[in-house]
Amino acid sequence: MAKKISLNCFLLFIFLFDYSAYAQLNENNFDLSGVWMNDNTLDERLKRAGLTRLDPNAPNAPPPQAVGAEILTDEYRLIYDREQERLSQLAVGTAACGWQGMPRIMTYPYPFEILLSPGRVTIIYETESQVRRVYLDRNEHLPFDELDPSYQGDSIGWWEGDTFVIDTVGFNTITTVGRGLPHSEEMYIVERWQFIDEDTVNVEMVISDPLAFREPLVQEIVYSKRPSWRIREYHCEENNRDAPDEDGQRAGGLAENLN
Amino acid sequence: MRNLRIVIAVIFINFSISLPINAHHSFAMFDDKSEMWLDGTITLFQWTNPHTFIHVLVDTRDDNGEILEQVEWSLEGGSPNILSRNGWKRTSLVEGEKVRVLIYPLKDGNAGGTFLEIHKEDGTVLYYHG
Repeated sequence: MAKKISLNCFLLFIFLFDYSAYAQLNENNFDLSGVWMNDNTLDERLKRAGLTRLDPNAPNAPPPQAVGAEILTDEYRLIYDREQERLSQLAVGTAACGWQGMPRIMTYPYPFEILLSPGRVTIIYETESQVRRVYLDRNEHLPFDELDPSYQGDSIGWWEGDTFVIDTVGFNTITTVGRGLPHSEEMYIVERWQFIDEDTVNVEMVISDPLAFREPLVQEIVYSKRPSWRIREYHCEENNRDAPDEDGQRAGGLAENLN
Repeated sequence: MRNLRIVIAVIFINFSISLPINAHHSFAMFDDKSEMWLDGTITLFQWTNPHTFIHVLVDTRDDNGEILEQVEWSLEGGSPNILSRNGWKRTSLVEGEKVRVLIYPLKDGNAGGTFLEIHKEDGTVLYYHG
């Protein structure tokens, strides 16, 4: 019996201890946890309007983005031009698979789920099951010799009133920031997740790169909660018929192996 | 609040550098100026990522109803992740069923395209978008 009581005391202690760690997250009464979706995708805009793609009143596709290769420094403009030349040799519509990493993962048309645990905000993306871990229990990034270049980088986070701020450094150069724009390992991103209401955040991402960009890129995306959604699996190589083969043509995927 | 949310979403689109409609690849290979209907029979339904595929066998017949030619079209669509949130299920189409499909055809003239709407015999309509 005594053993059982002491076990209960121990569990209660653990519970209280954990709760105190959560408290710093909840002081604003805004809850990051749950499934969130990018509200700006075509499908989400059509659903809000109750329309289908071919409806004459359907909202247009997003306009061509204003920011392009002109923001690149001369050195990175050459890298960009070489890659565009390589891609131009491939058949139209071919696309290899790969992780998007930050910041592109934030603009994909798939949801993500946020989990809270003591000292940590964990973002699990539906896209390729990529995961970001945002550390609340340290206010410095990893030292250089531990900061291995990675797709998602090293993220630390803190609250400023209604806004959750994430600061990320330590990226590899395998990814682009979108529209084929390359970046260096010096890229750093500051995200400000500002709550508009309890179910909606506006995320401003300021993407800076002293080597690749003439000026910081600024992206803003609205996400809202989807409590009834479940995160599915999405792996691009499951059946990528659009992968380029050695001649740059569409390889055809796995059609014969699937039912 | 919901209206405010929509307004904010629309405003911010203009500042975003990358908001793909189709996450995986450009759909520039399809001719979105040429809507086209196919009447045929489902021969394959791949409920897979990054894209679903529907194969439709289309008959060309002469005035007497005799089959002159059969062509199997390969139609590419949204991922199961997108389609399931637009009402689709893995069982939405079965091999052998007759369908009427609205597509944007391939620009290169091959028997392929991207599907927009699937009209089933029971009157159900499945949409890629919306």
